[in-house]
Amino acid sequence: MVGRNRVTAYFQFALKPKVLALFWLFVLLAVFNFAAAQEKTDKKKIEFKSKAKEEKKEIKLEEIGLDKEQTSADNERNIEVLLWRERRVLPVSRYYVKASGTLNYFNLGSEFMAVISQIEDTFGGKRLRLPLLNFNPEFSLSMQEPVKRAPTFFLPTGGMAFGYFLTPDKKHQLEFDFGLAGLVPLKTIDLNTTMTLREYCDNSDINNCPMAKLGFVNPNTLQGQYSFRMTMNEDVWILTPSVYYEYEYLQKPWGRLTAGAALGAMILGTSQKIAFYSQRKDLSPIEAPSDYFQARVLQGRAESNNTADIGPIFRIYGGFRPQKFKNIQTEFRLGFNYGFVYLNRDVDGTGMALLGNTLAASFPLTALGFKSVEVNKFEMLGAFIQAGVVF
Amino acid sequence: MRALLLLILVGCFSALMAQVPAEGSDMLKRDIRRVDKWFSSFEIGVRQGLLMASEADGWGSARDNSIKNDVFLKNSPHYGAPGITVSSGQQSILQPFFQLEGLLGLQLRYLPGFKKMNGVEKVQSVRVGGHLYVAPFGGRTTLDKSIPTAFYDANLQQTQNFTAKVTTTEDSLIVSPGISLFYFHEKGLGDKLGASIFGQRKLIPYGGIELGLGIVTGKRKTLMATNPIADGSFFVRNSATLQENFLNNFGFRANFLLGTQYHILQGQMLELRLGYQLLSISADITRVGNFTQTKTDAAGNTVITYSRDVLKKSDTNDFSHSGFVLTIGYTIGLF
Repeated sequence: MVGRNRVTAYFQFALKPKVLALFWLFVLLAVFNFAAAQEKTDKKKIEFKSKAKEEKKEIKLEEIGLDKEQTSADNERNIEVLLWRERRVLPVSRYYVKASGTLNYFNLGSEFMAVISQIEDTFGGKRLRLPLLNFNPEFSLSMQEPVKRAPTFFLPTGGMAFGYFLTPDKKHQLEFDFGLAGLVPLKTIDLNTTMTLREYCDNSDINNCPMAKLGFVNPNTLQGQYSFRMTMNEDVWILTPSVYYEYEYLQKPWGRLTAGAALGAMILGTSQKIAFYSQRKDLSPIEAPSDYFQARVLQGRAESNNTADIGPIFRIYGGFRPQKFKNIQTEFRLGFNYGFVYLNRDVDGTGMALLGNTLAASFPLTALGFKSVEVNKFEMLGAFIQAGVVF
Repeated sequence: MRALLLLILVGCFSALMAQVPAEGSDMLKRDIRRVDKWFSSFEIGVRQGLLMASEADGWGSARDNSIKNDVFLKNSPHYGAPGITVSSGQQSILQPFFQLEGLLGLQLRYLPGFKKMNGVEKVQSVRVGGHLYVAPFGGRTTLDKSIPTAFYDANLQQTQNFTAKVTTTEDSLIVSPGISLFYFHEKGLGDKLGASIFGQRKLIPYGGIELGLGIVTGKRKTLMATNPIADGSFFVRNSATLQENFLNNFGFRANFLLGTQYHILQGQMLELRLGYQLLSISADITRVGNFTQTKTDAAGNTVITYSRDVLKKSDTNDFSHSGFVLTIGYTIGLF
């Protein structure tokens, strides 16, 4: 909790408008100071116009791709603009733009897995106590097939990056990457099975066993068989702006090998929607002669949401940039990543117990032990492989 | 459908980026000529900004109505607080955002359809490109009050007076990919201003518009709990939760802005922008929650619990974020 508070407080502080304004004020002052110093020391830049007039005589139109048929006024304007622009661009050989796709393999960390197992435990035989009107039964729900969230071990992300070689020999480079994952809904639970509802009570007196008394379980065996259907739909947004540093340690005709590290932010939004419906299918006329035709139903739905929680992500990797193939430059990276986000999850939902038209009572999910507001550490520890096309 | 839309956007952006020539090939010379002919420049920028706005007219009142109707059951004929007053008001928003942008300078006179247009050869300062706007906005407390509340029980025909503690927090994530269109006054303001650090086309003003698709995800959570009051030998307390969320709702974003670009060193510029943003989004809200009344004995044992679900499972509210934006950024020139 201390770690969570520290990280959350750091991001909240860094995103405060006053802090942002102060930061940019310092940047502006530093830049203007630096720019003023540059102007004083570089007289040539101040005399740009006169220099441009001399240089334009030496420029051949063919070299800069202009038409000879153009008017001299057009060419003069073109040359002036080209010369001016030349001052305003980075050296072509020093930068690149990259579009990439990354496949992340990860596990979610123990704390987040505990959140998922909370759902699995509820439907996996764990003893529950449910205050419902003036009943307070103790019971368990057991599935023929276990409720398991489909594992999400692989997460594909797409990214756009801008890279810059810090030195002319291209041994050191910085890359700014913006990765995006999500948008596509996932159905991580889709279960159609049978469920056994078991009540824990002393059935020597039926008044001790409210579920048996109401026909939800057999008063003799204290069990009821139900058909059970459950779905869970999830949506995920992950934005990962990152800065990569890369060092080239081997340059050969077949390509170059590098090693690098990255630091970035992980902005995460998730949504899980769970719904279940179960109906008793072994109610006999002997057991409940008066209301045999009335259904015993347990149903519910729940939502869990978090929006735009932010945490750090770290990466180390090895890179390979092969020789161009048909003028296409590719790049591959293989490495490990670790990131975490404290998710501020809101959890809410309602369940209902229906006994034909005799009883219809609802209960909040908190009655089953779920917390309405939770903070969970979502960790991504694993490996990644990235393939990109460099322009 | 959403994934397809995103792929198309990424594809369009990648196609624009692919105009940048590869180095050292035969295609390079041809590409340079083509690029120089059609496009006069290409710049990439990263920006950080602040949106100063107010909540949409309907958002604050919808929040109040949600709390009154589903947390305090104002209109329930059986049990509720008919006289409850909740006023969180229309609140101001100070929202930080981040933006990535790529801009191509157009040579209109070489582009198809413009070649024979009179006077177009003088227009060299039109820039067009794409941008991605991201505004994460978390943990805004919009209501945190203790409210005296009178719940009326129609069956017993009696009123129970509580003090209810109500807290509402809201979060949102706005992502907006779009296109940008600007006119740059390339000659700059330096000569007129006369100062050396602003001279030689270093300070270039511009104006333009950003148009984009707004994709919004958000949630609002309200928690209510009352103090226990005595009811004979028992104690009664009420509590409620209301969770409203919307996911990947689509809308429209436009930003009309004026800015200036300051050239620092070779290929590096600082930018300052001031604009007015229109973000029009209708949020389709999914609502879950419950109202629960619990009666306990003197020892704290639950005697009876009654819960009810929210009646309205979905709603639609105006989630517009329109207001002034101030942006500062760093731009690099690639050609």
